[in-house]
Amino acid sequence: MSSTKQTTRLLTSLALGAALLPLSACNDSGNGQGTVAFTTWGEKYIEDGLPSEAFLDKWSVKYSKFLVVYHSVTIADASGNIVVQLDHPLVFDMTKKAKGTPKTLATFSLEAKSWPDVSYQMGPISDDAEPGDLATAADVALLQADQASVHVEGTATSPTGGQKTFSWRFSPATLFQGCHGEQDGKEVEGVLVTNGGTQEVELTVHGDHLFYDDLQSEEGGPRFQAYADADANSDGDVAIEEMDEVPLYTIPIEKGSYGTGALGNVDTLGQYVRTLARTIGHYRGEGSCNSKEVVE
Amino acid sequence: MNSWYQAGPLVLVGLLASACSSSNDSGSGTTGHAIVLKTRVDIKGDLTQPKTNALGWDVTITKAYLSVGALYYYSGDPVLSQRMSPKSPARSRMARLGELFVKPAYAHPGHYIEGAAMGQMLKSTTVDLLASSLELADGNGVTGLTNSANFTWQSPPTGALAANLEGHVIVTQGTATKGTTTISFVAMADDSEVHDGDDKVEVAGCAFGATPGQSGVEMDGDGTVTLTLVPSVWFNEVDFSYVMPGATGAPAPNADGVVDIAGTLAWQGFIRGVKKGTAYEFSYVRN
Repeated sequence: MSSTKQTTRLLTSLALGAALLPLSACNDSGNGQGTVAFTTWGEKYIEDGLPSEAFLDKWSVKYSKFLVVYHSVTIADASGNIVVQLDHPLVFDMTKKAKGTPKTLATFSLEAKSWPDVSYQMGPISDDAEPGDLATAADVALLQADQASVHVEGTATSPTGGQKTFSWRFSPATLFQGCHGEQDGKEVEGVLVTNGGTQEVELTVHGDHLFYDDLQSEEGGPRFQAYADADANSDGDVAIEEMDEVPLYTIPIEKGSYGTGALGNVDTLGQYVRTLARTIGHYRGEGSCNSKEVVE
Repeated sequence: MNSWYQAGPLVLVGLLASACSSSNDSGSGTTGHAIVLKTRVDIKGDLTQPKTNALGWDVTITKAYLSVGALYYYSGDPVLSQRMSPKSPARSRMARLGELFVKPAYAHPGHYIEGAAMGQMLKSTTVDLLASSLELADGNGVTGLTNSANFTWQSPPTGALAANLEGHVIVTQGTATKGTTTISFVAMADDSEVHDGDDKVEVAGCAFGATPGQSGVEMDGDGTVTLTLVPSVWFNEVDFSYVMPGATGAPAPNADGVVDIAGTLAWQGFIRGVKKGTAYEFSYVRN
């Protein structure tokens, strides 16, 4: 993204923040003002790849593209009223490594105090979406063409060197709300803005989640063998449509439990991976949010 | 019984104690009051009539028993729910109240977050699914918005009908028909087979609402919680072709021609079904 565009975005965000927070300027609380910078990072798993050590069945994965569209990044007050919000959707390719400063969505000026209600959405893609830092117009167009909220491409390698490719698009938008994470060594709901300080709030994307073998258990881990087995036409590419043809009850337990918790609508491997795609959004590293599918 | 279950009543007691000192918090005076919750079980559908499952088998049940353990009700949304209408102020207050006693479950995204404890029924029993609706023991709770519930199995089973379960938590018997093929089957589940991903003998994050299958109801006084069981969900993904005579690995029928599907892919579909939250729907109506 050009510096001019970045400056424009910053000014727009500040203007929106000012418009949505009319009391901020005449804040008589004496708390002062601070800054919140929303950034995003896909961690080494997305930027460099998932090594075989990360997989229970010793596959490995290298992403070549990992597009997400951020929508409605929001800080609300205690009554749920929106105080600041991203003014238009931004697309990022999480495989692209930031140089120097992290990939930034927006920067807001806020009263210095606790803002416990932070939420964001992945999707939907819309006509006013723009490329974020290091993303391209082609990335935006790719999501728009499929009306996708998330698009991933990559190559998985088996312990014996065999390879499978994948190119998956996930459409439903997901709301991540009630976000909480660690700030200065303490668990914080939302964000604590300090007087004169700048808080970086990283929207973290966990690329390993697309391969977890249980939707509920904390004991699960990434696997790929069951996905590889779904390549019914043996063309070397694992399509979601092929995964749709695999009932979960047919997967041998030694290839993963593929447990679905109490979910009543996840019966196939395709439905399973679509559900996993709604869990990739995190908050400030290992922090998390309550996720829900957004119904338009 | 795990430590959470042991802590559950204490959490609710704490919540009730707090509620007594915060009844004015809502302004309307409708949240945080102790209430009595009668409990009943309904069965969805006539199990003795054929019900076609997702794989084309017409399933008819001739015998079905279920071990029912404690039931817990919560403010949190059901597991991986859809975005709902804006939360009511009352719910927000109840959630904050509950957090005084319940450490928020900072779960992995997609995981069920219980929120505040809103009620419970603790007396276990055994249910005959072919019988008419029946009453369970009274439970207790607090007024406020309730969105979800946890169903638990009791093992070993208790209650007057427990002997019918022979130590299992579910016993079913029936027939499955597709075309000209009819299979007489028995399908059972033990507590070790219905553990969820967190190794608890429960189905966590079921919908709790004003009507079965719906989520979100304001419990505003003494009322009745109905657990609507939907056994057709248990059998929806059971492919009985895996236990047909001649199928690879199909178990041999007993002297009565009944095949126990245990250990087969048909049984794996059954076990996935009994773990689904859509088979256990909770609803509340004020008395």
